[in-house]
Amino acid sequence: MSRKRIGLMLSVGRLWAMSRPFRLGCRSRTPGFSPGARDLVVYERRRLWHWLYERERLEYHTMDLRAFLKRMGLGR
Amino acid sequence: MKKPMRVKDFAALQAWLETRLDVIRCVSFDVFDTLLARCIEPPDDIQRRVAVLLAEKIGGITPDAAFEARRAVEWELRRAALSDGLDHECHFDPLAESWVARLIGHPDPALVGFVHRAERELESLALTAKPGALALLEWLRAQGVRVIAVSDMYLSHDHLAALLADCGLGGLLDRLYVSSEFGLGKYSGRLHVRVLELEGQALEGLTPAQVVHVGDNLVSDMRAPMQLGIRGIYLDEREERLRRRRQTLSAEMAALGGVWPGRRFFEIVDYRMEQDAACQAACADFFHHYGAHVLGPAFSTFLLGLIEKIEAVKPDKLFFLARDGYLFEKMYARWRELEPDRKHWPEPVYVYASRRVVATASVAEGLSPEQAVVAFYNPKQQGLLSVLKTFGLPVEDFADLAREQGFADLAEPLHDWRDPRLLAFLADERVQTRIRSIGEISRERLRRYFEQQGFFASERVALVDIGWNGTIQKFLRDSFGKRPDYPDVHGWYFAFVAAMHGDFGMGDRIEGLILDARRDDSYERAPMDFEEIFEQGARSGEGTTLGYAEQDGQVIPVLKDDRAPDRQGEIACNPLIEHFQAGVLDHLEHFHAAWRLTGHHATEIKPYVLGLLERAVVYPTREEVREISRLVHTEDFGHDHTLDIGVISIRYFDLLRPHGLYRKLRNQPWKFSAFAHFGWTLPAWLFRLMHLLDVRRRS
Repeated sequence: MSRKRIGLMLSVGRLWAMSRPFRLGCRSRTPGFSPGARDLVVYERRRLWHWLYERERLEYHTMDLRAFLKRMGLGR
Repeated sequence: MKKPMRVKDFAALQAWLETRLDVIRCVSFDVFDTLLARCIEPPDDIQRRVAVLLAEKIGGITPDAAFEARRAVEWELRRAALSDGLDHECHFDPLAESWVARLIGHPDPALVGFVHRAERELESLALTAKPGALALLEWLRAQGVRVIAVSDMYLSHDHLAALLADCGLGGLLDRLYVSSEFGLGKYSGRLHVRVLELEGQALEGLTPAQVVHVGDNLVSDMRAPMQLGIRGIYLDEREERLRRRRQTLSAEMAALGGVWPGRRFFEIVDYRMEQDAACQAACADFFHHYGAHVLGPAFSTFLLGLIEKIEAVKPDKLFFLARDGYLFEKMYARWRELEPDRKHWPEPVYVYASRRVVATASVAEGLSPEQAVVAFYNPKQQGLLSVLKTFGLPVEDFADLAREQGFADLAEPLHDWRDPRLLAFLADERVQTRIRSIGEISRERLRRYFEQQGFFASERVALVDIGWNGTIQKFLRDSFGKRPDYPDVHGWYFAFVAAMHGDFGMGDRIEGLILDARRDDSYERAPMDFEEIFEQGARSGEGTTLGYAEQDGQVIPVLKDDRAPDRQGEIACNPLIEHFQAGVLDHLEHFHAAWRLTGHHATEIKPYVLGLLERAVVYPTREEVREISRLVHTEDFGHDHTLDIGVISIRYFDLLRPHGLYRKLRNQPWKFSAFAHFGWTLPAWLFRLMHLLDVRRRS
């Protein structure tokens, strides 16, 4: 049995790629399941930002550093 | 100052606690996003949804106005708490009372009760215990450690306790502290101070150093307790945090419309299904998984569309047509159970009808050439033999008459639909007399059967089926449409391709809710490119209806004999179909919860469902092709053979001759399955493009 099965979530890139034949082949007038190139870029850019920038983790390390400095007698 | 402490999951937390059990006497947990996870983000969306429900209940008020009123009341309560020297906490009880009073101008305990029930129901649908939380709490209690929960939350203690109980954590907590009850928050440290005082009464001599507090908020759950000497532990579940952010982003994108609302909707369904251990275990079976992840979204969206149609048209009865209406009836029954407060539910009736029995009844006044050609839509048609079988006419009764008109072989395919022999055969009065007598008997039995089911006693009814051509609706109208008591009949189908007889003048009284060829939306076409899988997924295990018989004064259906070779194949596949359907029903549970939480309409989520269907039909995996090819599909409208869903083998070399390849695959029931073995999607993508170009050229 294949371990990796496709579930309910399709990536927006895949949705966009699947919609291309409809745009090229029948010039569909409806957006259908195409996420739209501009929206796709917005979504992926923000998703990447969320992945890279984690405020919580940054705050945690700041607290950690302050506690370290305090223990060293260097912080307030 | 102690070093801040973080753990990445409950297992790491347990390992950390295990080495300190001699010191720790009490472990305190944050509730939301620590012990419990929400399937919908941001949490404000639940409040918005309650505002929508309240606005609907009151009437004459917009959801936005209702939500703004709630915000205003909440703000006033928080300001009042601050002016009383407390933290800016508010309690849901006065909030609900003031909110309702502000909207309708006077207090209304019944509406306040409605708000409480709605908030409770939606929170309960949204929340689940996090994986590992239950096991950790049980372990702590077994070690003799006191376990408490401390939450910054506007809901009351009892309300939150009930939610924890719904998630299976209720009995595992020694005590629950909620900020709304004290007017004090964790973020200021004042709630932690109060908790220490009260816990000190329960555990004599308890010191802050003997308490550990765990949570996901750095200020409330770590910095504030640490300043009091409590060991604060930051629960740093990165995947969970990213999931929440992703869902919040999806919620923002959903406001754009298009495919986004559906994608956000199924993100909620997907998360709920992941948390459902029973569903996950069942999904190890391929057919259950396929039912839950491919057919489930499609059929559930169809059902939601059906519910919306019922709301708009208000039929007296719903007739689910055998055999493919079988699953839809089960889904409808389950939806009714899940919506106990709803008043108008048309009575469901499962009727044994098939294209064959209504076709036979429709020839009670003779068979015209225009009617006869419906038998030729199947590529495997066998000419006059198919015509006779389609209309349930005994071959032996017509064989001699056919020979007289030049039919040497009745099974010879007729590619010219105006074949002179066929026209002469149908123009023969002896043929028509015989046809009429058979048709009249059949029509009378069909009339009595439908009368028994209350069809003619209703003013407005709807037929529900997988659809395709609406043949049963057409032939019913042809047979009985002139009767004065013929009801206003609507046809609500999964798909309506309108190929055989157009929409036969039905207009908006016939509709394909997922696919309707009259909409001319090519994105909808995936179900048309593999009809068999949807028929298989929805069908009952019984044979098709061949006719009716009399028994004890009642008309009963006569089904195809289980000993027939094609039935044998079907019966062997019935267990697989049951797995499909169990998966669909599993999906429906979570689909319904997501619908309650978001209130999306079927049309809003359909674009994403079409994407899921396009993926499944055009870009199947090897496993999907292998397993689905095991199914036996019978064609029982004028044909008795089984359809081979199996795959034609193609190679890379075939891709160099695209026209030859296209001709080879064009009439295959699942042409796109031929590309699955390549392991990448470009060949199928190119073939899809070629296919759509061909469809456009033909239209």
